[in-house]
Amino acid sequence: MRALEVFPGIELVPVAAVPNAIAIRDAAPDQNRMLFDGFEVPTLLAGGRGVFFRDQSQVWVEADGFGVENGRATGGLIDIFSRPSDRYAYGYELTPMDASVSANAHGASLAVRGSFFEPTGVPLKLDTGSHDFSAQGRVDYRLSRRWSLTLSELGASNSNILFLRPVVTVRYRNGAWRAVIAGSTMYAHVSTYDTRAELRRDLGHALGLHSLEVRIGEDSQYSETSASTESHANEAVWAATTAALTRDIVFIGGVRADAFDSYLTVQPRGMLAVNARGTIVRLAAGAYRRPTDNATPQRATQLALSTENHAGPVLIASTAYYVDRERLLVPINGTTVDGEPDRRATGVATNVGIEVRAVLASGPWRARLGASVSHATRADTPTAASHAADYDLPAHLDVMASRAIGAWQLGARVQLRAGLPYTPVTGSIYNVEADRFDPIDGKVMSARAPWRRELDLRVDRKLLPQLRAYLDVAIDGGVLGYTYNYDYSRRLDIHALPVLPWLGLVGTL
Amino acid sequence: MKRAWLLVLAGCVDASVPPWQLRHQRVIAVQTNPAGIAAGETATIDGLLAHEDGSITDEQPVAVVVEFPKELFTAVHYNVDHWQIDGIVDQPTTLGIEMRFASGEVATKEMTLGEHIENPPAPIAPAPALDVDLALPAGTWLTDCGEITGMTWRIDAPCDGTIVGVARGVFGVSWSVAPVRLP
Repeated sequence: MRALEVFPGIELVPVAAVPNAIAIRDAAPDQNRMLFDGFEVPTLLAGGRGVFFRDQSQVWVEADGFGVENGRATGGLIDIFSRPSDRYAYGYELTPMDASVSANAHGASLAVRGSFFEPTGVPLKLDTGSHDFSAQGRVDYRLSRRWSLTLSELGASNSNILFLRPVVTVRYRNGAWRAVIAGSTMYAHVSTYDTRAELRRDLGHALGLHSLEVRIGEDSQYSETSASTESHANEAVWAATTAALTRDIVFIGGVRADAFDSYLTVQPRGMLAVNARGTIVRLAAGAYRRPTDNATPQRATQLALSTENHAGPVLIASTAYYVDRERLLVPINGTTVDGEPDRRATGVATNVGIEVRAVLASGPWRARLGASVSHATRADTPTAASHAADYDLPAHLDVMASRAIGAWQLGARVQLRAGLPYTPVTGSIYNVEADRFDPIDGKVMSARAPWRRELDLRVDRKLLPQLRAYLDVAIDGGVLGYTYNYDYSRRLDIHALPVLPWLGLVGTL
Repeated sequence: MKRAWLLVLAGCVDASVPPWQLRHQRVIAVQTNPAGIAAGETATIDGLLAHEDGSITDEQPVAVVVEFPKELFTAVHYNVDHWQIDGIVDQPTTLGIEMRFASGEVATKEMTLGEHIENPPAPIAPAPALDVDLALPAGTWLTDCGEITGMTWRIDAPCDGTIVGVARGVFGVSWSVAPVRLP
């Protein structure tokens, strides 16, 4: 999952000292969505690793905004698509942390993974009494010449998370018409019942255009807590078009209407892409809304200008973006509801930044570079003083390179990241009745964790035609974050392991 | 037997003092005496503080303010040489106060106005031994001799120090301070 961090705006953020959730640019984990075959799965990860299976999935990160087909997020999307299987193959992987097996047949696949222990707590520990399991599967069946059926599933369980996401997808194709109808439910601490439907028509050269396609669809989600104490209904309809004015100028745009319980929102989004002599320039703008409990929906307006250029073996992509967020939830001092701080939707935030990615694939060489600079601020009200946003990441550099030499493959990765901001504790108050020390917070987000510097070295060796071994050594002496002792009189550093060696075996049958 | 070994992967370099350690600057407990007062009665405020050198002091706060209800701010005042709380209401009312001690520590405390309530009895300090079971239904023990793990006090070296027991009732707090001498 750490491979996602090669996207400059992505940060795996710690939950109880374990890198367990995904922040995209300044968007907090709850503002992003992770989708499996179009339906939401929890963004919390199993100890910093993905619950999905890389060999059976395609993963897309949508950080520059996304189309009207998806909603209920104001940050970014991570789309996981299960891949159809077209051959017989069996695989396994064994590491000091976990073991996984996978089986692929024509039209069906299944993969299961279990860990020997689980990272937990502060300081970071490996609890051999706890384990996490995940499973992913897919079955494809052609019903007729025009209809096909896909059943897919992703599930995971550990001490913090338990979910099962089965998906049924029916596809129809007849000439210029195509349709997709999908339904899913998720069993978790919050159960959801979801549907998606899409109808698209290729209109060819209509209106004198190079090509024109129109699409309409719906997207619904009904969710309720396991105790049935709370439920929410979110319904959405959308319409979109893809219009190519010429072969090199394409406009994709549409509008989405979401009903979040009693709130109705309308979100127009569009993207213009121009291919200018091999360089693709995209200008995307859109409105994004997400529901919040008992408050008006959060709003974000995203604007991104990106370029992508293939020059021989090198792909260079860059993005300049601006994000404006409104109606963020802010705690109201001194008020609580059911023991939790009461909140009001008055917060605002902005984020401006530039990202650059480069990918090289030439002969035995593979290299990737990701770099970003950004400035993200937020304030409790539009007129209040602003401070660094919770996930403000001013600078991030990630460089990877590998070279194949015969049966060997040598690789190295260097990461350099600014630390995340935090609110320092300046003292504490002893609560006599609770026998507890409560912290006195200093200026909000006025301090920052030190820079992170990580070096990964990896050696792969093909032992047999169908068996590969690898050794990965992660060198990280940095401070992951801070915690405090029981009376907040001392700040304690949470260190990563200085050296973490990792040995794995990967095989196929 | 539960097979749950914990392998420490990343040290949070926790050189911090555990909560039971007395050699640490902190407020141990605060007591109003009595825990609740009827109309016309008065109460005093005492704080028990631990210090880095292992000493224990019973102190008056240097400042006290009423946190809630704000309209009862006149109930707390300084009287000649000590802070005093006056019973100025007839109906049982919870009074929240915040106080600061001379060394800078801050504490919050609740007491009852409108009803006379005594503090719970002070805990009886156990005699030091190799392993001592610290039986205290509601409260805590602190010491600078040996180690306290759960409800067991283990001293495996000669020590000359102190043990403090703090008992917490539904209303009120009381404490006992006893010397520890284990040659």
